[in-house]
Amino acid sequence: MTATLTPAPAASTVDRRRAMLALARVEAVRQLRSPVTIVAAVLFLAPWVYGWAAGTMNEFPVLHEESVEVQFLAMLVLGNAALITANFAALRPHRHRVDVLFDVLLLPTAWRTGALLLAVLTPTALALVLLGVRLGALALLPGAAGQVLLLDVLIVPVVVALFGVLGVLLARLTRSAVVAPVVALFLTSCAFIGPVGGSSTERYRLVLPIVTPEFPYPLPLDLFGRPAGRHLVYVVGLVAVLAVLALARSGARWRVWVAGALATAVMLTGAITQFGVDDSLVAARRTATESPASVQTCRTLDDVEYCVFDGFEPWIEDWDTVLRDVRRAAPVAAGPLTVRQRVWATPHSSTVVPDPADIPPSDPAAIPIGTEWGDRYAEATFAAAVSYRLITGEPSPGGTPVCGSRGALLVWLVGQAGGRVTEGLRLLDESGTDALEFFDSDGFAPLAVPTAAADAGLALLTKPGAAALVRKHWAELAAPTTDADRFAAIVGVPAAGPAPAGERVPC
Amino acid sequence: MLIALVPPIVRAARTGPFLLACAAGWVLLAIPAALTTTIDPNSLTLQLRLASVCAAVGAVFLLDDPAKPTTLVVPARKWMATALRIALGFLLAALWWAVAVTIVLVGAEDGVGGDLRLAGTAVESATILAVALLLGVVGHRLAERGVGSTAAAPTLLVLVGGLSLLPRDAALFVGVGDPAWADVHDRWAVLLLTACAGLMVGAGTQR
Amino acid sequence: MTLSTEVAVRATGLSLRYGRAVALDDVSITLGTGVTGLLGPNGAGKTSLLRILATALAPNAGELRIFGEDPLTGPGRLAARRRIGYLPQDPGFHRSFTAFEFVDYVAILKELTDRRARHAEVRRVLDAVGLNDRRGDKIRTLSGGSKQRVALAAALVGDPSLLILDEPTVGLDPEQRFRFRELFADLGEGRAVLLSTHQTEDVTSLCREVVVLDHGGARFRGTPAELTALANGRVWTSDAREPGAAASWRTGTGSFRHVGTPPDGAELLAPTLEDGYLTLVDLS
Repeated sequence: MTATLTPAPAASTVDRRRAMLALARVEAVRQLRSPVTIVAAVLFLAPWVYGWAAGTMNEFPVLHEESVEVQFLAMLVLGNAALITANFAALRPHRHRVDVLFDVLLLPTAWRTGALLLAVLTPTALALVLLGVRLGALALLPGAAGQVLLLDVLIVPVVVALFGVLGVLLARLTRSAVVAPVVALFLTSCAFIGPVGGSSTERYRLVLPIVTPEFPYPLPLDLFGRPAGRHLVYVVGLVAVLAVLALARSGARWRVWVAGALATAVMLTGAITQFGVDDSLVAARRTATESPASVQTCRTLDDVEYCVFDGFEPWIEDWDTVLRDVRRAAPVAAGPLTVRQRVWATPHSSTVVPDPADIPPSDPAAIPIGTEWGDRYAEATFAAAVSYRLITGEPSPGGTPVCGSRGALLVWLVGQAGGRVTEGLRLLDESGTDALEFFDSDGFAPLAVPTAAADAGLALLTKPGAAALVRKHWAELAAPTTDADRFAAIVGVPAAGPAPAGERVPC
Repeated sequence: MLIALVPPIVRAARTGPFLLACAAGWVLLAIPAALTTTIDPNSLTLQLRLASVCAAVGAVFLLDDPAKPTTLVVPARKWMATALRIALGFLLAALWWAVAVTIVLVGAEDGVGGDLRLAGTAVESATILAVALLLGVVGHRLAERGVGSTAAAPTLLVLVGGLSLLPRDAALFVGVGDPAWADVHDRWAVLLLTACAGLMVGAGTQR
Repeated sequence: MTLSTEVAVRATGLSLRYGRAVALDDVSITLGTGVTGLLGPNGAGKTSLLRILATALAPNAGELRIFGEDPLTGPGRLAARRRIGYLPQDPGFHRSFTAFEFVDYVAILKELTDRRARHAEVRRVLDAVGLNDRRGDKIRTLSGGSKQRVALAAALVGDPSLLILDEPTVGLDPEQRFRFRELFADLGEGRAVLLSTHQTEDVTSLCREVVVLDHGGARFRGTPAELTALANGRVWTSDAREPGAAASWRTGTGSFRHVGTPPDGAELLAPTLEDGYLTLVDLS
């Protein structure tokens, strides 16, 4: 505030500019020190720090996916904080009843608005720093796949600036202090209704400030195909348009309209060009979905060949650990194995889980693995696919239930991998209703074990001496004709009895 | 005395922001209600929660009293005026809630409305309102000039934002199908009672 | 109604701290009927003292009796508040209320529950502050001086025996100030009035007694004449500025007036209350 009180006697433009910059500095520091800003920063980092401290954090992030997914939380927390702090800063003179005093000062309202708009740069910079900290820390993890997308990262601070500028504009439209919180809630609500919260392939989502991922699981980097650069131009244009409106509303002179026209042009350029469809991208996605072998690199560890899309190499050794743990418990020599990463990169009807029947198997012999790892579900699902292969000697069919003793044995084998795999098994067991379903969001090779069989397998996990029993009776346990009750009888766990009426998984 | 205070307090309370926030809450609910797509009960519950927070943000302003400096030294018990404002908040919020639920139920497609667990959601909303009013009381008491909403309203948003980010084990906002729904709402009820006790202490201990 | 011999306020050893900052340090004050002026530089603790005496604030230490009641206890505070009228330094209003409605609202808070009697009382106090013809105007439309009068009317509701007025004449034009002065003089009849002000003329013309507060402590207590007398032989005039003086200024006639320790043979002047005040603050 003091900055405005030290004007030079002659009000030349240069003096005004200096006064505006001085005021912007004061306001910028105030916004940074605002409790709302500080708490928002804490809230933004809190879930991640908590996951890190509690040991539930995913240590295998896909960096380009993280660059995109983080935008939603950043918009809600940091964006809304910027909206409220900027709005309250703009309303402060009115609230403290000094606006009458300010009106006779050297710096006209439009210039004070200019200073407030410039001060929005602090929450913007803060957002960039917080995002840098979060993504930087993820990138340092040895299991990080892919790479951070700079343009997508830049969208976040620009969106925060957009919210901040909106806060200033609102203050210039109405002096009510309730408007900013209500608008913040309104935008939050719209974010949840609209295709912002989850994944979406709707084209119109590009007009929203942040662009959500198209698929609910990560794609390889070269298939990602986000118009981030053009979208950034669009959002920057949007920021400029709102800023011009705020300035115009504060009585800025005609020059601001020139800037307004320019800003609108920038916004429209970005808005329109981002809708262009890239044919080569469509083709590449089709190739990766239908014949991934042609675009993958492979690495062999002992007798297992791992084929991955570019960028996912850091996961191979961890996959290998799980595969080995499962293999060690099964007394079969399953010959050389191939593990192939699969991804569903073509548009499909369901946005949650694609139907595996829709996709032609390009490499039926390979054990499939998705583009997620480290979330416990992916581990358990991969262990299940490996177990299925070891038990049956066949690739997992996907979609069909694993019945009888084979199902129970599969659950037990998955449990042998320990660590995150067992955690995933527990999570899946808790979430399934009438079957233990192994699937991750990629939707490849889902395997379902009916509850009766799954419970027998889970019960065996806690029984001492189980490994020897399984070894001894392997042939019978792995036979397709052995039922779950027989499994229970052989290994000495309570039988679950007949399946409840109306059980969903047909055997 | 209490009765004599009702008309001036109702006039003096800042109902403008509250009514605006209430209307905004209804609009929040009306938009998805107007859409013809089926919205799942969890999303509808989320909308109801967000709208409740919206109304609660407005309720904070009811506690603003710019005449505080002038009425600092009066024999009337301070809790009376505060209690009237709180009662006004609960009364208007109850009316708001009735309309809000009607909007949601009328707008819900495919019988989703039947899957909503409105009693539990009402406890959540009442708790958020009570916390909002409590923040308003604290703001009023701390603010020299009696206008505490400018700090209390963002505090409420930050608080609710923090609650929504709680880890799974401690989560307060759960889906309607969540097995923990009943347990979580026992906790909400405890929070509601705590907030109400806080309101009583906050209103009753004014000098 | 008020016994003229009754002691309105008896405070001993009042202390108040805000964190480490000392606002009041061992202040003792006794108020009887009549107008008592409270002078002191900004930040001397005047408002803190007034707020404590008005029961709006509790001191950290000290003893306080208002009409024999202890305002640190609930019942004592209630009894005291029934007899106090307080005009804060920066009063606040419900700006959408009319002047009448606002004073009426305060009257309800002052336990005047009988509607007819209350309205009569509100009209009386609005008349006393000369606002009766504007009582239907919304407060937001009133000028600063008129708002100040609304706040004074609110303080006067219920005919309090102790009036505590924190800079009531700030922002008033000379004519309004004169009217207020008249009013305060009337109010001082049979009532204790404590008036904090920077206007030494108000003190000279109104107060039976004056207290000077500085750095949280009471530096002087006596009649205005006694305060003025502190500057006896310390005010002089000359044709040039004198660096040795505590304060000096060029008067309208072109000669300089000085307060401080005069040189030998200086042309001494009769001091005013302001000179006494400056001398006191300078010495402390």
